[in-house]
Amino acid sequence: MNSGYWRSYTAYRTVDTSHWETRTRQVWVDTSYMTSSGYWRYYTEREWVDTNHYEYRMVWVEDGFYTAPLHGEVIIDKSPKFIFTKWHKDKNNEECCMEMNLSWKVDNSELLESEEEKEIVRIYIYQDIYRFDNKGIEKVIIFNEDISPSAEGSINTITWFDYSGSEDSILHVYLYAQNGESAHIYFSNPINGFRSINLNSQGSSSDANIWLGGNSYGKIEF
Amino acid sequence: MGKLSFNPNSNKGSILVIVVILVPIFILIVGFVIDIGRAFLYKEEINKACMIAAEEASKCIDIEAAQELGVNRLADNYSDIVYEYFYKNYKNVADCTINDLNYNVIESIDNPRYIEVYCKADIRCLFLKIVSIDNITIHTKANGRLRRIK
Repeated sequence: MNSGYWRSYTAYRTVDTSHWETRTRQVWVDTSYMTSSGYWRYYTEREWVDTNHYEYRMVWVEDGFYTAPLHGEVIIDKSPKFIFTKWHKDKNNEECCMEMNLSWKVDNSELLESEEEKEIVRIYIYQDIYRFDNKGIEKVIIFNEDISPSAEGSINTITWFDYSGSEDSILHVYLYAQNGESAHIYFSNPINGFRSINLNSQGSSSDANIWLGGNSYGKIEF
Repeated sequence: MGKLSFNPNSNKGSILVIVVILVPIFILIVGFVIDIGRAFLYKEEINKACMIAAEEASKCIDIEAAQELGVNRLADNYSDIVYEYFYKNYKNVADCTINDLNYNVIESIDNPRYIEVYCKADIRCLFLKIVSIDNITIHTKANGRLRRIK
């Protein structure tokens, strides 16, 4: 005889219900890509190229010596005091001009031993005329010649000026010694010119014009 | 009773009177215009000569004083220059008589501000003689000054 009864109990077991099934979804598909395009071309730029290097070079070395600068005295005698352009007549009814006497005396008393006596070998005189009404500068060469070397001497010049110029007009005198040293003297030398005009019936209350200039004699030591 | 009628020949006398009166007046007016015009022409010509004379005289400076002293002084012969250049530029004609040619230096010879040239002339009338005007007197004046170029 079998006796027994039924009773409940809890049992666990794994039921595998997994399976494959087809589902439709949206997904992002990245199709972008990196690309580069271009070409080669020439271009110009400034670049410092250092070419420094050591090298040996032959140079000619002259024997040097100390020398005393050019010293002396220059006398400029200008006539007349007040210069006019050549378009006006002087007292002799001739074209107005400028006569100038230039004399020099080089001081060789302070020469160093064995130093050659300094002599003037070339003279260059010119005038820069500062023309009115901003008409520029007119250069008039008065004298530009080699002369026989001399420590003392003089020259005479006569110059006719075409244009009038203000007090900024400068007369330059250069004296050159045989070894290249030079003395430079300059001074204001305005050139006068005039014209006549008609006035209206009222006339004028201003005084007559005076003339520019005034230096006629100068003694310069250098 | 009188008879009214229009006869052109009856006005001949009055037209003649009008013509006799107006023609001399017209001639007088025309003559006046011509003589005054001639006077102005002569005056212009004389004034031109005065202007040139004044200009030339003002340039007549003592150049020696200017070159040595820098002063602006009139030369002694400036008066001769006035006459010389006036008559060089004025053509003498029978109808015009120069009665007075004069000059004046304003301020002084040592400081000539300007030179005044004055002229008085008589112009002989052609038509105004009818009314006893024999001459027209003209006066003209010109000033000249020297100016330094600057």
